[in-house]
Amino acid sequence: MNKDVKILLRKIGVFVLPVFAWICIVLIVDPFNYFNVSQIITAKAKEKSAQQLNSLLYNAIHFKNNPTKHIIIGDSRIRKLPNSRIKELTGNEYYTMHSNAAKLNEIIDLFWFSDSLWFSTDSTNLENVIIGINFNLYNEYAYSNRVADVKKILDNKFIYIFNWNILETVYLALKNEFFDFNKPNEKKDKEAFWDYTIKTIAKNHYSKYKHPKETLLRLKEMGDSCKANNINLILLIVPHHKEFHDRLVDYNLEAEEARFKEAIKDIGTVIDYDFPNQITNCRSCFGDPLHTTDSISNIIVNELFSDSLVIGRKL
Amino acid sequence: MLLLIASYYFYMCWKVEYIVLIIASTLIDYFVAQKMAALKQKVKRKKWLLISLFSNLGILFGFKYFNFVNANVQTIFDQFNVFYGVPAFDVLLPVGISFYTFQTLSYTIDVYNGKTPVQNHLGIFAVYVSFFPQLVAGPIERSNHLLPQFFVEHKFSYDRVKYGLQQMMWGFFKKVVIADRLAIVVDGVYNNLDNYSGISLLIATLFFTFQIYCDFSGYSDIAIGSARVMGFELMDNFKRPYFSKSISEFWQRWHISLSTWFRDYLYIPLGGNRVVKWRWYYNLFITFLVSGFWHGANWTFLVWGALHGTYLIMAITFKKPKQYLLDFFKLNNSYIHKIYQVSFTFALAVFAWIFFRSNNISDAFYVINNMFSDIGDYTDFEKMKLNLRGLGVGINDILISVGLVAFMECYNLYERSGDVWGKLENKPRWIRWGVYYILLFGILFLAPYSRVSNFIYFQF
Repeated sequence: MNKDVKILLRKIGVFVLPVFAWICIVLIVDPFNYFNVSQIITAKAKEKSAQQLNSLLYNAIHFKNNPTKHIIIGDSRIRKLPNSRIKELTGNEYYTMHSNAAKLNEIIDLFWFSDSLWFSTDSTNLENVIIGINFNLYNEYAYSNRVADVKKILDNKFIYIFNWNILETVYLALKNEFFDFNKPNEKKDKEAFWDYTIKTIAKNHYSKYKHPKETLLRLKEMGDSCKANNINLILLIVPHHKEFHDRLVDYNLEAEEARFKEAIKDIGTVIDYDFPNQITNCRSCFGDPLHTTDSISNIIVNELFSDSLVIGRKL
Repeated sequence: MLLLIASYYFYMCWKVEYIVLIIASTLIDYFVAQKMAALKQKVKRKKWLLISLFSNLGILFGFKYFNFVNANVQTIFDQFNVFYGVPAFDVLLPVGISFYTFQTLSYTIDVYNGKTPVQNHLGIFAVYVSFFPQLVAGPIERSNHLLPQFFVEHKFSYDRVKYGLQQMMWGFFKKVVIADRLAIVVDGVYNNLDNYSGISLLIATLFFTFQIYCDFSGYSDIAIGSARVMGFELMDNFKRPYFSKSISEFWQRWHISLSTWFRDYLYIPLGGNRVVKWRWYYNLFITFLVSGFWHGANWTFLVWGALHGTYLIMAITFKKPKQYLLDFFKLNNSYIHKIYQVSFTFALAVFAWIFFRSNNISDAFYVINNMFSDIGDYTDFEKMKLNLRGLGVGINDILISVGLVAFMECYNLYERSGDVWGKLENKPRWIRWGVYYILLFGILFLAPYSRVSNFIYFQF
C-alpha cells in the first residue's frame, strides 16, 4: 500500500476515534433505555434526566419496551393522575404516555403509535385509552410534530446516537448519577409563576386562535377507530383555575370553547372538570393555574374510575 | 469502466428504469457528434445538431414540461368551453434530467462549432455524461474541461484527497446542518401560508434565501470534493453570491455552471450585447426567462427568471443617472455605497426567491402582501414569539439557525482573502483538528436527521 494512503487511513482512524468513543458512551449511559443493555447508570438517574429533557421520547421507548393495554395520553396536566390509585380501583396497569407541552395533533399521533405497537405485535388493540384534552390544545396554532421525530429515532439507531438531545441527556444523566442526584430541585416562586401563567401563558394560548379543522377530523377518526375496535375511549378535560379560564373571556373565546365541547362530545366519553366548580374556584387545589395538586388528582381518578361523578360532569 | 459502472449504479439506486434515458442521451449525442465530425461543412452538420437538440430537449419536454403545457392549454380551452381531452402524463420526473441534458447538449453544440474535438471512445463519453459526483445536480461540466481528465491517470495524492474530503465535509455541514434546519421553518410556513403573516413570512423567506444557497452550494461542494478525491477537478459553482454588488455580479457568482451555459449557448447566439439596445434587452430577458423555466415547469419559476431579467435591464437603463448621482454626492467606491449595493442586491434576490419558493403565484403574492403587515410589532420580542407560534419549532431553534447562517457567512468572508482550507494548513495542528471536529460534531449532532430534506435541485 502506498505510504500516503497509509498516512491518510491512520489519520482518519485517529480522527474518528472520538466518534466511536461517543457511541460507547451512549451504549453505556443510554438515558432513554433505547438499547436497554447497560444498567451502569441507575434507572432513577436515567429517568430523571430523560423526563426532564425529552419526556416524549422517554415515554415512547418505555412503552415500546413495556407495553400495556391501558394508557393515558396527554401533556403535563395528566401526568399527575396517580397510576397506582387507578390500579387499586380497576386492577389494570395504566401507563401515562405524556409529553411536556404536548399538542393535540401529537396526542393523536401518540394514540396511533401506541395502538400500532400492539397491532404489529399480536394484531390486537389497546383496551382503555384516556386522552387529556383541554380547549387550549384545540387550536390550529397549537402545533408541533415531535412524534414523527420519535418514530424516526426508534427506527434508526444512528439518529438516536447522534442527536443533540441525547448528548444533553447523557450529560445530565451522568451529572445526576455521580454528582448531584439528591440535590433538590430549585423551588419556583409560586406567586410569580402563577402570575406568569395567567398573563403570559394564557396570552400565548388564546391570543392567536384558529379552529383546528384538520385536527378535529383526526380526533373523529381516532374515535371511530376506538368504536370499531372496542377500545374504551375517555376524553378528560382537566380543571384549570378560574383565573386562567377567565382569560378566555378576555379573548372572546367562550363561544369557541362551547363549540369545542360540543364537537368532541360524540368522539368518546367526555368527562369535564373545566367549568365553574369547587375545584376551579379553589386556589389551593392547584400548584399553578393549570396543574392540580396530588390530592385533587386523586379525587379526579376516584370519580373517573368509580363511575360516581360528583364534581366532574359527563358531556 | 469502473467509473461508468459506479455512475450507472448510483443513478439506478434512485430508479432503475430511468437509466435508459441517460443511455439514450449518451448514444444519440455520441453518434450525432461522430456524424458531425465527419462533415466539413457547417450547414450539413446542422441537421445532425437539430437531431440532437430535438431528441434531448424532446425527452426533457416530455418528462418535465408536457404536463405544465398541457394543463395550461386545458385552462385556455376551458375558458372557451371547448372540450380538450389530452390526459396528463403520469410519470415521475427523472432526477437530474435538466443537468445531464444540458451537459450532453453543450458537447454536441461545441462539436458542431468545432470548439471541441469529437470523442471516439464511447465508454469515456458515457462517463462524461453520467459522472456520478455531478450527475444529478451539477456543476454542469463542459466537455473540453472534463473529458480530457478521463484520459489522465490519477495517482493517489495525500494533499488532494485531504482537500477533497475537507470540501466534502464543509458541503455536508452546509446541507445537513444549516439547510435542513432552515427547511423546517421554510416548509412549515410556505406549505401553510394561511396560518402566517408578518414576521413569520419574513423569517421564512430569509431562511429560504440561505437554505437554497446552503443546500445547493453544499451539494456542489460535496460533488467537487468527491470528484477531487478521485483526482478530477470540477468547475466552481458558487462564489459568495450574497456579497454581490449587483445582480449582474450575482449571476457571475450563483450557479456559475448554469449561468455560463446560458451565456454561451443562448445569450451569445442570440446576439448578446453586440446588437441594438432593444434587442440586447430582449436577449437578456429571454435568457433569464428560459433560465427560470429550466428550473421547473411552474409559472413561479418563469416569474423568478423574468424578475432577474428585468433587474438586469433596469440596471442597464439606470446606469447613467445612477453614476451621475454617485459623482454628484462623491460616493463612488465609498464604503457606504458598497454596503448599499450589497444590501440592495441581496434584497432583490430575496424578493425573487419568494416566487421561486412559493407553490404558486397567488401564494407568492400572499407572502408579498402580508410580509410587513405587522411591521410595528417587529421590535416587540414577546409579540414576535407569539407570531411564530405554530411553526413547530421553538425560538431557540430559530436563534440557532441564525447563528449557523452567521457562521457560514463568516466562513465566506474569511474565504475572500483566499481558500479557507489552504489558510488552515498554516495553522497549528490543534486549530486544524479543532475546526475538523467542530464540523464533524456539528454534522453529527446539530443536523435534524429526523427531518432531512432532499436536495432542492434534485427536482430540476
